[in-house]
Amino acid sequence: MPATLSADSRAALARLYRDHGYVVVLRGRRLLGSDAEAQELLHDVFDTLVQRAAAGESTPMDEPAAWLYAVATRRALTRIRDSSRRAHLLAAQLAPMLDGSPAASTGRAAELADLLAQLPADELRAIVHFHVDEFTHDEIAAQLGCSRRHVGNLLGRGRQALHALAGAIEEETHDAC
Amino acid sequence: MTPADPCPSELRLVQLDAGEGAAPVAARAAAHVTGCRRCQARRAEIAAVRRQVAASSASPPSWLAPPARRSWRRRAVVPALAMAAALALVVVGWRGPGGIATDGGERRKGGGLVLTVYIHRDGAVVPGADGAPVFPADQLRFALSGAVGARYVAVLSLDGGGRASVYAPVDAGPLRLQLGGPRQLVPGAIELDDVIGPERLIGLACDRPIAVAALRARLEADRALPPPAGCVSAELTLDKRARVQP
Repeated sequence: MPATLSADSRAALARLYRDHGYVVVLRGRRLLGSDAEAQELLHDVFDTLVQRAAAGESTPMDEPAAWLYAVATRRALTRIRDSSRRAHLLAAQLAPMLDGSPAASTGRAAELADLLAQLPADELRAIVHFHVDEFTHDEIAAQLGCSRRHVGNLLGRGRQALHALAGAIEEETHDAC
Repeated sequence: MTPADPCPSELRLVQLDAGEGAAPVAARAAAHVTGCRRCQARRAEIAAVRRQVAASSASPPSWLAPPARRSWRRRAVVPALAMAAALALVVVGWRGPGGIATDGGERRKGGGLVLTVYIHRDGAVVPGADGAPVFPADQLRFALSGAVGARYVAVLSLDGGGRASVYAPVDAGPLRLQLGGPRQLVPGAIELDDVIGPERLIGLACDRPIAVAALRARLEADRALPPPAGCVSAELTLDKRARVQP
């Protein structure tokens, strides 16, 4: 994959980093739970952008903050999938949507974290945007680049999967009693 | 959006801060924030993070800034290339043989340091691997991964003439990178001179600042560099060949 980064691309990415890098840090703190993780995410995101630019992909500059917000969210969720500890942090933030079922309790966070890691990427993003970020369906659609109807479908499937898990855990808990 | 409306999302507040979004939507969000203490606090938090990041990174990381000429050069004088537009970006990563890394003299399986090299040649990037051919005036950048946490790092070289060099850090001060996630680019880069032969590259990640001058001297004297205590290392060798003139 031959690739070079033009001086213009490098300057544009440097501007993006300087002016809007904080958006990535915000997402990192919210989704990954620490400053150190947020700084890693910042580096990770811009490392990826440099590679994309070198491969000839352009960086949308119409609304850089919103675009970077989406990129950072995607990367953060990828990192969450790669780490059970991070998945636990996200599980804790999503627990309220399970209405205090046993799955939401600290003791069962592992199962919830496992399921989060297994959810399809778009379903997980929709769930996080809705339940953690308090997005409207329109905002989720804009971030995911899909229709409102599709957002509804993603949220429906994601919630169904999570509630199915909650139910299974609840049954398991009762059986144990 | 008035104070009675639902609070805007964090994204909307970020866009408000950045001056983005459709004007009517931004105006409604701004009106809401004016009358909502919770959103004022959230917006203040966003502004605080923006200021904090701006203060901690007054300039972009070196790999985004135009490369300093001297950092791309090595001791020999070589013809200048059009470096301003060049950055090698094909990722070629490898570990020590069999995925075994060394740690303070002890060999340790798995999870060791990974040294990655980026090779730029004639306006393009070529992939390499342990033993890959390189040529005088090729430009190299390095990245490290595998080790975990904030570590002091260095990259040293022993060329075919038996001369050791410090490729990173390029400045006098210690270089610290946050490792543990994806590869971290090492600031600065080098341009290969015309000494032909195997070019051994050694990456180090240590708990403490690295005495690179002493290690360079030891590498040159012993032609080997066991990792000091508290360090992990990764090593690879490139095959530096003379360019064939057309």
